[in-house]
Amino acid sequence: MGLTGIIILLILLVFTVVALSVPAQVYESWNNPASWSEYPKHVPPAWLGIFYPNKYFTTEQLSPTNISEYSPAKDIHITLITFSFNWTKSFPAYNVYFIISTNSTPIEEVVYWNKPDGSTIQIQVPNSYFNVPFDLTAIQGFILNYISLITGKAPNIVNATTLSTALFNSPKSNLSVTEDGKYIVKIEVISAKPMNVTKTKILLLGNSYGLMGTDYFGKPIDLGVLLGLPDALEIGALTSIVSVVVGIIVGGISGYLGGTKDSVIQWITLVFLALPALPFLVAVSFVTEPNLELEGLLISFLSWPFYAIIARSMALSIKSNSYVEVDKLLGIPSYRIFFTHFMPRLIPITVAYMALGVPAGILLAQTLAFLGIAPANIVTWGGILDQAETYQAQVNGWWWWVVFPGLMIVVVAVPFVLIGFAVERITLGER
Amino acid sequence: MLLEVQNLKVYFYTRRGVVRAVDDVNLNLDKGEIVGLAGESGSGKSTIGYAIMRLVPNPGKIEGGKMLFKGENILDLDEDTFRRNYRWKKISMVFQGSMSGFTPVFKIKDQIVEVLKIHGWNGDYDERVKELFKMVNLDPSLAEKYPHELSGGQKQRAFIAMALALNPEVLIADEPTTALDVVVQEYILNLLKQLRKDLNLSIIFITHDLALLSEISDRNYILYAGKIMESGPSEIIFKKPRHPYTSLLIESIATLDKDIIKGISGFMPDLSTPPKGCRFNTRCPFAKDVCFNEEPEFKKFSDGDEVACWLY
Repeated sequence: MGLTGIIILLILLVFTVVALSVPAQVYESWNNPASWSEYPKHVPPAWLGIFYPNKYFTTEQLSPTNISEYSPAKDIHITLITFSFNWTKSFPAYNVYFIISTNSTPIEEVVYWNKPDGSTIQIQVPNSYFNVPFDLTAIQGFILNYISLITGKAPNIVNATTLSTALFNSPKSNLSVTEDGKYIVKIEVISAKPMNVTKTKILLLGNSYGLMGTDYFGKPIDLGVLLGLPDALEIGALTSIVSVVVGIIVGGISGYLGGTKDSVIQWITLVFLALPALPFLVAVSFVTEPNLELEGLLISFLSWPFYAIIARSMALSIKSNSYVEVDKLLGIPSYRIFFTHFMPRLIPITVAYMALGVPAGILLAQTLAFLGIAPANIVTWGGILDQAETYQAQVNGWWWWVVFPGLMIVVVAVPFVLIGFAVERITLGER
Repeated sequence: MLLEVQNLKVYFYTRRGVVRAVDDVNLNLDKGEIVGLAGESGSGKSTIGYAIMRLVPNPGKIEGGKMLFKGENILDLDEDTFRRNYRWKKISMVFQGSMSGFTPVFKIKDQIVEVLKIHGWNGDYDERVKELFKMVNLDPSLAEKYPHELSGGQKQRAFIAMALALNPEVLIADEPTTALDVVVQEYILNLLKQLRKDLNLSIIFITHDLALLSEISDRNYILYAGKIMESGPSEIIFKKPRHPYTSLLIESIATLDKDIIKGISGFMPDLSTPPKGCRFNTRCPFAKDVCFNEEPEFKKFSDGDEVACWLY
């Protein structure tokens, strides 16, 4: 049992190292939707494609097959970028993303979208999107015109997917059936000066992404789960170590001293225990705007009494052992008995509860994050769940947005619980 | 006189009232003497032992009396001085549970060395441990073992070795053999006698087992309900006791030639409300009117016996 726990923990630690090697700007850009525009929005995990091969596909990235440059007249330089791809799926792409950047300012940019049946859609790229990546919603005016030209009416809902049908469905079928075959996309960039194309590609966004799908902004959930891991472990470990150490020392002293001092310490412990944890943390967090360490200490501040009470009951039973009484007879000073003969007996439960305390700390930290209280610039699973709730993932059926971060909180708790139980079983015997 | 306990009073402050567990007890101990302290359960004999160590368990308190160690009243010393200069150094203790008196997670040797270190023993610790183990007839290699690796008798002897570590002058042996079988009991008794002879050690032997006491003690104190009933040399106490309680106790010793063992009927009185007069009056077959009204004074006899009874 403990071994399983250690193995899971090691795997988690490997992922933690991976997460820590992710550059800092990824963490910083997490809450910036613009950083994730190239990702399909709120799509399920890619592995669904294994079960429904005809329904789900992933993003396809196209590189230009040919770039040619010519100058038909003075001060007119035309660059023609050609892409071609075979489309065999029975659905249009989720969205199409054009990335064209040049080292000069174009006068005009035109996209010629050739379908396998020979029909062509001509799209004029608006000025504001020159040298900036854009998707179908940026050029929806032309596409909507095309749709009403073919079908005779404008679509009711305008989003990337309906716009994409215009590019992929056959005009003969009133844009209801996707055309298979070879598509050729030509992009004409006209400039007054000679220019170089620095970067160009087309993304045919899939309707599924990665291991855990994406959220409303296109943020990949798997990345979020990964980025949340180090901080979750850190806050769990921090709260557990601090609260268990404080709790065991306070409880140990309380049980060791006994009598009135014990009563006073127990009273203080109970006062802390009676503090309603969540409202207290919410209130304090609003006032202090904590960082990760401070939040950990705040959680420890509220959870040490649990361990103090357990440690005290252990301490009372240790105290009644005759060797502790004998130590007094031997003329060993009281503080020395406490540290050398008494506290070492509390170490096993300290270790066990330290392991068991980690998930508790993680859970509380994620709960706070779910309530919108988390240190800035860190990714939390609770925060991801909070957004899922805000964007009504449950109503929209975006289950992957809720399931995976939630599952992760459980997965992280499991190894610590297994290890804690194993240690407890070794030290306190079978129960 | 090495140790004189005068008018010792130990009261326990419980919720039901003040329990007078030890009331006006006088006890003397000479150098090299083995003194027996006998009585039934709850008579306060162990409490006297702990009181001499100044470690009366809560909620008990030493409420009065003097304890003169070589003429100095050790009850007047502050706790720290007493711990440093007397406890275990001059007066040490072995008791029934001392088998489990070793902390289970440390080697026996380390625990003895710790005691030596704390009390500032000058000399080689290893040598001293070896010496002590030889003194109690234990193989010195056992010192390297953990407490659970030793048998009960071995542990008890190792504990006696620890009790002797600092060359104390008084050893309080509080039922040191109760949890052991008779063979080991005999062994421990002989060991204590041997130590008395070799080290000129004074021993207060606390027990409820009069048969055992008769083998070892020079003088005895018979305790009942927190008071001394009779004290005197062993030959008087065991051969011709004067106090009815002593004689009834001796009659209740099981021997092979007895068909019926006579017990003492009744129970010890509740010490939070002790009876008026002699405390044994509720069970004494010879109780007279005066026994229920006035406490008897000690009467000395020429053979060294002292009895607190209205019969004399």
